[in-house]
Amino acid sequence: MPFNPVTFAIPVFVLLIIAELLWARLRRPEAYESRDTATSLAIGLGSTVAGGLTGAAVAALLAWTHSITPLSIGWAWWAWPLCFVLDDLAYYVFHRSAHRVRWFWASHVNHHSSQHYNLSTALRQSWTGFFALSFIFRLPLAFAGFEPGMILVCGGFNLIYQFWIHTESIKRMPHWFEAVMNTPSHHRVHHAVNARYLDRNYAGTFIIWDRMFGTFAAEDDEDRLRYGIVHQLGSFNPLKAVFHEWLAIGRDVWRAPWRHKLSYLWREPGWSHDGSRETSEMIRRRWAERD
Amino acid sequence: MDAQFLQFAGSLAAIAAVIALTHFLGFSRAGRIADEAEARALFALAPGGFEPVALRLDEERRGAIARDDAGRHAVLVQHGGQFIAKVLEPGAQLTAMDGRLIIRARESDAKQITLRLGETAKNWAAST
Repeated sequence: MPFNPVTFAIPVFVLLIIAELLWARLRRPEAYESRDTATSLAIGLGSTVAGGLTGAAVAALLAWTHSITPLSIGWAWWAWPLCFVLDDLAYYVFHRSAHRVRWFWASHVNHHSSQHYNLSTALRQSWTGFFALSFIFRLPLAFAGFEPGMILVCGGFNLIYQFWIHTESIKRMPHWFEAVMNTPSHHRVHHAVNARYLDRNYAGTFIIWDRMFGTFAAEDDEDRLRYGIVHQLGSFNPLKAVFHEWLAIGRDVWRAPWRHKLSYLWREPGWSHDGSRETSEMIRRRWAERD
Repeated sequence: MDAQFLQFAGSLAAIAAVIALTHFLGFSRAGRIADEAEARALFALAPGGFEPVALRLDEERRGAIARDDAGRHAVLVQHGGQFIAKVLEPGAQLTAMDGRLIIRARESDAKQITLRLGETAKNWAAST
């Protein structure tokens, strides 16, 4: 890719993390934990290596898809905002799948594995996205005629946008902004393990997709947010964060009866053939009955 | 290749600097549970849920133990600045010694947990 906006944004990410650290020192000491931050940054560094190794393949697949479609939009100025919006829709579909299909969840879970919520958490990006075939969600854009380079640049800016929303230092943005855009408040909900917030707010840049497709939940200041995953990792080992769910899938598929093996790949996280585990719907139902 | 190596090396240096800064700013302190209400909220997050009918905080609030109405025990285990609720499997060993409750879960890879509960440690050890 000739231009990767994320590469240029990294120094800004570092400066913002330092600024947030200083804010936390003064206002919210529990926002950071040094080993957790080290894990986040190590996973982030690993993700850049993984991206470097597989980026060319993703670009080639987009180019191949673009080559077989009769549609071609080109580089017109209006194609950029259209591509950005549709890429964000594709991201919403990918992200929702990454929480509702265990195969994709295994690649995404490390991003949610921290019990803290700060800008360093944003860097807990996947190492196994290519292996999980997560790129398939962008292929329809190439088939629709968008230039592969445009798709990748828009995706890069989408990722950059999502960095700043990983913070507790901003309570709410103006009402009009909260209505349309993904914000720190909306994304705190997404990272929370409170029952009411599980599998909500999948947005990348625009929260409108969650509002349209029924997956939106507003942050309730009376319900203190707890972060992480339902089965907390309990480890600062970045390798465990990245690979633990893949290993768990392997164990479940190995042990499951033949007729249920594939379900441990494509059903939602928490699904079990014998009902011994809880999905997010079951957790939410249990919470609702209790209240 | 040189540019990529320089970028990687620069990122590594920045990461090391940020980690050093987090430690220097005091973010390496272990967490403490604020109070019983906080402990109850944390126990509720245990997989499968957990509603304590009896609960005791560690004297330094670095953990807690609880029992529900089904007789199950759960502990809040410190993980850096946060806590994780773990429901103990049947067969977990609870031993009282010098005001401390020593908990050994049944799982072979589980770490031993020690809670300072004072006089009540014996009661908790006897409650399993």
